Amino acid sequence: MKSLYYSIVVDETHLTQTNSIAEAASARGFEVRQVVSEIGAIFGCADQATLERLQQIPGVEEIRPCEDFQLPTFDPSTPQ
Amino acid sequence: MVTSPVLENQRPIATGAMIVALRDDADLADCVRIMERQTESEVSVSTFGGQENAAISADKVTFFPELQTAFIPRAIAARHASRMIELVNEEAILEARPEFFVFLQQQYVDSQDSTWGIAAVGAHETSLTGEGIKIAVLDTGIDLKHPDFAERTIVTQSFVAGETVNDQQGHGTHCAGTAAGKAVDPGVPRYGVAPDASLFVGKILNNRGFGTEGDIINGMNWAIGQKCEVISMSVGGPVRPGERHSLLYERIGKLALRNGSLIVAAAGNESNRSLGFIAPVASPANAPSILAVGAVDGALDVASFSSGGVNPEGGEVDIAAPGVGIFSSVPLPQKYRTLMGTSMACPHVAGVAALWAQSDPSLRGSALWSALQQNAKALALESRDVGSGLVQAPKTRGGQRQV
Repeated sequence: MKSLYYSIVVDETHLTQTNSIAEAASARGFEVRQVVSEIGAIFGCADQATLERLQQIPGVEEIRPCEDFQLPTFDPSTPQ
Repeated sequence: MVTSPVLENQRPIATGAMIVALRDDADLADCVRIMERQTESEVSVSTFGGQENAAISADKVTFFPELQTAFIPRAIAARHASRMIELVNEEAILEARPEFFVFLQQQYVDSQDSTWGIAAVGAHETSLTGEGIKIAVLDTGIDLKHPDFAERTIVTQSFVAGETVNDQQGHGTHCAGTAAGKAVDPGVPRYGVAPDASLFVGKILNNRGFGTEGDIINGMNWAIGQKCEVISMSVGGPVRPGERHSLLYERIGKLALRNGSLIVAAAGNESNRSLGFIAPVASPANAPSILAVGAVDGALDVASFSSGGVNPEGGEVDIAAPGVGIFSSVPLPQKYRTLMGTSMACPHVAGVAALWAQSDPSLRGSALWSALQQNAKALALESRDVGSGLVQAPKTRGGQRQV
């Protein structure tokens, strides 16, 4: 099954436990790439079956696909 | 450049006088009699080349037979105000309307001394230069070999795996230049808003201009940790009408404000106003705790591409800045390039924010946000498009801010 990049958002009351939630997510198959504990963000990749297991971790508020950014062609006629 | 009254307020301003157009076939003597009767004033007839002094009299009605037009000066029009609206009932009169001031339609343009953006935000009229203030520019990096940056101390960090902070795309060097560039060649106009600010450059987009959310959030967190008073993000992803802002960007925006940092972000370029389409403010600018910057052109009109305040809860445009025809630095060998976009408007606001932060050490975080909005120049445009108006540098005299 295809893996995609996701961000796990930890709820406000569990912010201090972001690192342990990242460990729990990793144990359930989430390939953790980055953790920004100050804002409760865990980035990584997983397949659909893994996502369902992650939802059950206490303190997980939201799991959503990562927003990636792409600048337009660097050209004077294109708004940057 | 001095702004014209038209740029201050684009509404027509009446002089108090009246202009009366008479029918082409109206008899001259009849016209004079009508004007004398209605105004109870003397009427002077002015023909082409008939007078050495062509100034219109302030105490007589002047009739121009070749134009079949009469001019009623302000004092007379005021004295007979109630009759002025009845003039059109006269058979010989086609139209009677107030006279309006006519101003030369001015537009900001680049000069030998500075770019139009520098002039429009008033950065050239203040002694403040951003000294002592840290501006983070999170983008594609910077060309550290560019002569305008080569001799400066710049703190850098790449968040892109396998790439140094060196900018091979160009966007980051352009944005850093607008915020804090300082031309070393005297032939190059001033283009950096806060040329003495300390630059902190975080590379969050790779050399193809692509970035992941994780790298971007990491870069924002780094800039907050570096205690940068201002964080400039000319980065934005399109948002659908009705779509909510990201929880993570809002959290990091709040974290920044709590730590004395202000994040400013480009509102986005997804609109096509010539076709009547206004796109919602992009992410992360649509987070309520991140200042969203729209773009205006040299006539201080909203740029066609600039996204608007379509969505609620942070989806507003908070402020506007120059974003069309923006000259700034790009990587060697080209050195400079003129570009457009809210990406160009955003670092103007970042630079001005640095000037305000320098002017008063209490202006940090939310207080800095308020100072920018409260001192913006109101524009005759919808707040949906330009927020509180055109960002303005503090007015200073002898280094002291004028309140």
